[in-house]
Amino acid sequence: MFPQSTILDPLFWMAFGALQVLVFAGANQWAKQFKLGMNWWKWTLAGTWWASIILTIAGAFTLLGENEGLAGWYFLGFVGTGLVIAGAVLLRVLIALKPKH
Amino acid sequence: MERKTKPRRNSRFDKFVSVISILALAFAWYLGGQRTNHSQTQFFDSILASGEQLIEVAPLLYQIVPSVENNPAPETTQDTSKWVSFGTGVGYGGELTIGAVFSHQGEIETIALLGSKETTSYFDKVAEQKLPESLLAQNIKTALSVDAVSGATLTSKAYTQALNQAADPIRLRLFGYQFTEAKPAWHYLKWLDAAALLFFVAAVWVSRTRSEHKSKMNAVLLAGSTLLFGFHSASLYSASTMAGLVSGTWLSGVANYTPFILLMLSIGCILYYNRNVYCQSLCPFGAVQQCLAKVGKAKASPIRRSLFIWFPRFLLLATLCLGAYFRNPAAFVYEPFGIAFGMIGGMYLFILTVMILLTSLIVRRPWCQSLCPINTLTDFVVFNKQWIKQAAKPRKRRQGMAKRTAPKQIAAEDVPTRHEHTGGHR
Repeated sequence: MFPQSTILDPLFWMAFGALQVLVFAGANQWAKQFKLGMNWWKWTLAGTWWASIILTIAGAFTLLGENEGLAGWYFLGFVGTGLVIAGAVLLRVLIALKPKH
Repeated sequence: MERKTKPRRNSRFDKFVSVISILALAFAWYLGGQRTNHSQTQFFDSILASGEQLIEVAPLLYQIVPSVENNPAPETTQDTSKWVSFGTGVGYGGELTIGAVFSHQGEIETIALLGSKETTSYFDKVAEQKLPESLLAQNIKTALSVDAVSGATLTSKAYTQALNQAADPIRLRLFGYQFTEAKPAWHYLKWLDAAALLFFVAAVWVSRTRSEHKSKMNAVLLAGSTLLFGFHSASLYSASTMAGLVSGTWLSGVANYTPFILLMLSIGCILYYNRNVYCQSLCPFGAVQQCLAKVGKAKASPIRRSLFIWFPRFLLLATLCLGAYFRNPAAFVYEPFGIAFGMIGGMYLFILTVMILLTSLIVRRPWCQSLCPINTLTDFVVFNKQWIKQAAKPRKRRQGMAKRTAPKQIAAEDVPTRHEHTGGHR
């Protein structure tokens, strides 16, 4: 990430990890606002999807950094597109399974 | 009450563009014929060392021997001289032509691609995997074979087939036998082609039926077509198929006739019914876009602007002209099917495909609405059919207008009919 520094790399990843707390806290608030009635398996699905997105971006940019440009872009394109579509499907499922009050 | 709405006549501008398009295509074909193919001459120059000459033994069969001044006893070198031959193989998009040099013992020394009508992305894959290099140094005593490149099996086979064909006349001279047999045209027809015919007939029937289950039947057809002509074989027709049909590459053989069959059936259907059932009932990429539209609750696209009507027309004409000029229609592709169904294609097609798939979540069938050449083909065929019909019956119409008799008949002649009818158009 920061090849010229020994301290910036761990600091960056710590900040990135802390950011995930905010992401899930925000997602929780959003789910409450839309009354999605989240439970353990819905959170598992949402978390898995988010982790897949993060790993895809990390994987693709790792490939780009390793001078595997074509592989990086193809990975980001194929898997990323699939995940965006999967995200849309997941959203539809969560909305369809909203508890009826 | 007098009818005030006149049936819309084809405008002069549209007629002009239609004629210009045909002329441009014919001109591109003519110019392409004027191009000299130097590939064989360059190949000969590259394989001949100084002090060597080429002797034609038979049509497309040569021997490399020392030139007369360097060779006092030509009969002694005949047995140790190299052989040069040419062969063709039929790939996915069309023929591949190669030239090869063989040693006097039958080993392959050099292979060169002299001409290709193959789809570029498939051939690039074969070249990247170094398939030609893996054939070097093989002996033609046995049939040449190599592991096909995954994702470009037909192109790999075409390349090996071309080399085997080139090797055959030399095999016959060196070892007294040959392997290649002449294959009739029907050899290339497969069960998938019959399936294409069946699916198309079913699509026409579904489009004409008044059954309450019409939409369900259409969904089943689309799903089957997506699996069969999409994910299984990527046999969708496209601008390059149209160019292949116009250029006649299918006459010399292609490995997959299914797109051509679907295209010809579509043209027949457009001519007869003024509509293309392929888009609504068979197109795998259309089905994918429709599924994504369902997932993302996509809205219908805005009004078809003239840019979205004329740009694909220009793009298709440019593709057809380039294909005709270079005599290689498969080299000019801009469809996303290869990437979507086979993960094959260049970076620009990859970006285009990703953009289309993501847009499909928001806008209904963006590819069909913006770039697909099939709408252009349909418009062109229907337009010219109507024009010919109008030109064939001008006197009748004038008489009809004067007498004001049978206005329904006049309307039926002028406006493309999409209703059921028992009789034919002719």
